[in-house]
Amino acid sequence: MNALEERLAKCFSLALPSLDEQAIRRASTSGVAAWDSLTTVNLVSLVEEEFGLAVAAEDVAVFVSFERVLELVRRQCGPPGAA
Amino acid sequence: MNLAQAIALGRQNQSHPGEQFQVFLACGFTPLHAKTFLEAHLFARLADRRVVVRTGRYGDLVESLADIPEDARCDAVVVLLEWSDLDARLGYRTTHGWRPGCLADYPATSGPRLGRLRELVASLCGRVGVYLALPALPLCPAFLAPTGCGDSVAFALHEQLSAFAAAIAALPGVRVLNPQKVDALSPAAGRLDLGSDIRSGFPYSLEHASLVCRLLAELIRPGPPKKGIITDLDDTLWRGVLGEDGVEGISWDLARSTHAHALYQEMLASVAEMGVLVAAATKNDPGLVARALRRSDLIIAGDAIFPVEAGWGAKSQSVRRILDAWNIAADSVVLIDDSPLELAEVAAAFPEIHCLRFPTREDRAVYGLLQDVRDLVGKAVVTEEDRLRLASIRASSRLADSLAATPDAFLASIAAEVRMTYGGPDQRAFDLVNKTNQFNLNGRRIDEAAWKAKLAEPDRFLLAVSYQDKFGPLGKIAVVSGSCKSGELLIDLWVMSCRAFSRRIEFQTLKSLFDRWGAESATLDLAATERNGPFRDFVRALTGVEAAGPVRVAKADFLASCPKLYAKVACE
Repeated sequence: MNALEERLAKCFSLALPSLDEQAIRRASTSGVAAWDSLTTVNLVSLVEEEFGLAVAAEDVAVFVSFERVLELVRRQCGPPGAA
Repeated sequence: MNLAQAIALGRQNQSHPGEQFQVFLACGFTPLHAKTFLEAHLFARLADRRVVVRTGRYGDLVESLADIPEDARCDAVVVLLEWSDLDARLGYRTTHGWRPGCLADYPATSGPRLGRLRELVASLCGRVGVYLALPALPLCPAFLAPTGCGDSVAFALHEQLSAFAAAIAALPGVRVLNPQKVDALSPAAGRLDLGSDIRSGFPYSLEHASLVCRLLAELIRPGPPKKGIITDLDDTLWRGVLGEDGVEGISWDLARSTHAHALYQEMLASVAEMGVLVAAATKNDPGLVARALRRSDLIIAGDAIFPVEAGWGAKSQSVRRILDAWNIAADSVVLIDDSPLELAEVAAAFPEIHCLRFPTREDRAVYGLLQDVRDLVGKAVVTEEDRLRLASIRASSRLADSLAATPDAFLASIAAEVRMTYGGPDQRAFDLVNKTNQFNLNGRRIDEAAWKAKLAEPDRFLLAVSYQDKFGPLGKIAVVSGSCKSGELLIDLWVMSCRAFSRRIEFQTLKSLFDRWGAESATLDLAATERNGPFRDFVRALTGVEAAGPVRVAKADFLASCPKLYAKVACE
């Protein structure tokens, strides 16, 4: 896990405290019952705070899995290790 | 505190075993991060309680307050008011409200809403503390002119809001967050997060939400105000060095650009009138200091400063003598001095003292110092006892020697009168319970809601003890609370101001309790604290044993150990 992924995993662990590190990497709205709309709102704010981003309204739609959010963060923060 | 920290702290709070501290959060928007931050900041301040934040109905702040049942257990009600609560058209989640034809109608809508809110706050504040933040977001850009041009309708809205704030801030049990404090700490342009408002209905930026919740938590659980200020003189109370410049050479005026010292004196005079003790510690010739403090143009009267420790020894020695004269602990005191060296020397001897450097010749920085002083000693309510404090301490210092030499002869000569008043709570009783350390049965502090709940318990009595003698009144100096069942007094709260020591008032109080209730014994719910040695000394005088926990005192044993009492007692 690189630094960017670790920072994102920290956001997920705060929003979804029942998940361990492995489960966080696989987390998705369809696979995690505890992931509700409030979790999504918290995740968006935590990601904005952690990475200094402003998540656009249309990008909230990617907050359905760890992988998709990671892609968004990579896209917004530049290549791996740049953030 | 950022959101990640608040969530982590909130998790600790949720598993904390402490007694619940229940807060009702009323806001018209989605509470979301405000709930998270409020819980975290309150938990950080309360430490020994588990904070539970409940929220009201979405979209209707005013009526969500009406939903709080009269018998609901609630320790605090927090209101986050925003413009959209006064008129939904002033928010960003509705449309068709910014047309020129709508503008004049805004005050017509917001006026009755504020009136209703005022009624609800007034009805709540008798049973629970209400803590309210006024709208902090900028008014939406609905008005006709460019945003740099003030609009009369917008001013009318502000006028309504100011009238509302002035009215509710005067209600007992209501605290309104000072908008100027918010302005100083949260830039106006950074408060609104329109993205978050559109996305989730939460309009605040995280930084602003955290700040407002921190300030509200400080209103709900303020730190205990400091009781005394020890000030240096040279280049602090005045500009100049007395030993070099002479009595007439020191200054605090506009003409010599030393007016910052006049403002400092004005602040000291103001807080002294509130009952904050002010003393001076200075390395100076005592005679010169006495002459300087008699100057008629001093802003703070020289006799408002007591004691004055002038000499050439270490400043920490002067501070020690001042603390002894005041009979208060170092952690209740602020030291203000221009010399970092002196501050460091005192801090080494008294790490608990709050030290502030006076920024001589840095007038801009003096404003920060004045704010710090107000923050450290300020309190929302000033009692008559606060105003009496300095006079009684002066009298106590005169009494001390006489008491040590011939206590009985002396006590017989001072025409002491003790008044025992049984009745409802007041601010002074509440303050005494929460700031008294030495003569304190068990050191337990209590917040306003728990205080009201305790005194509402059936069979509970509250005794307030007032004292005066020929040297003047001390005012209300002791509070006792408990109950009496089957001839046994059960006392779980007993505090007495250190100003009232050595007058046998504690014996007089227990005797009065035995007499009033016809009790044959009293169980004192004693708990040893680091600082309640004087109370344990009293228990040892009664029982002959060192006790650190609950102790039972038989009336017969009390009468056998009680010294002769001279005060005239009145019971109400």
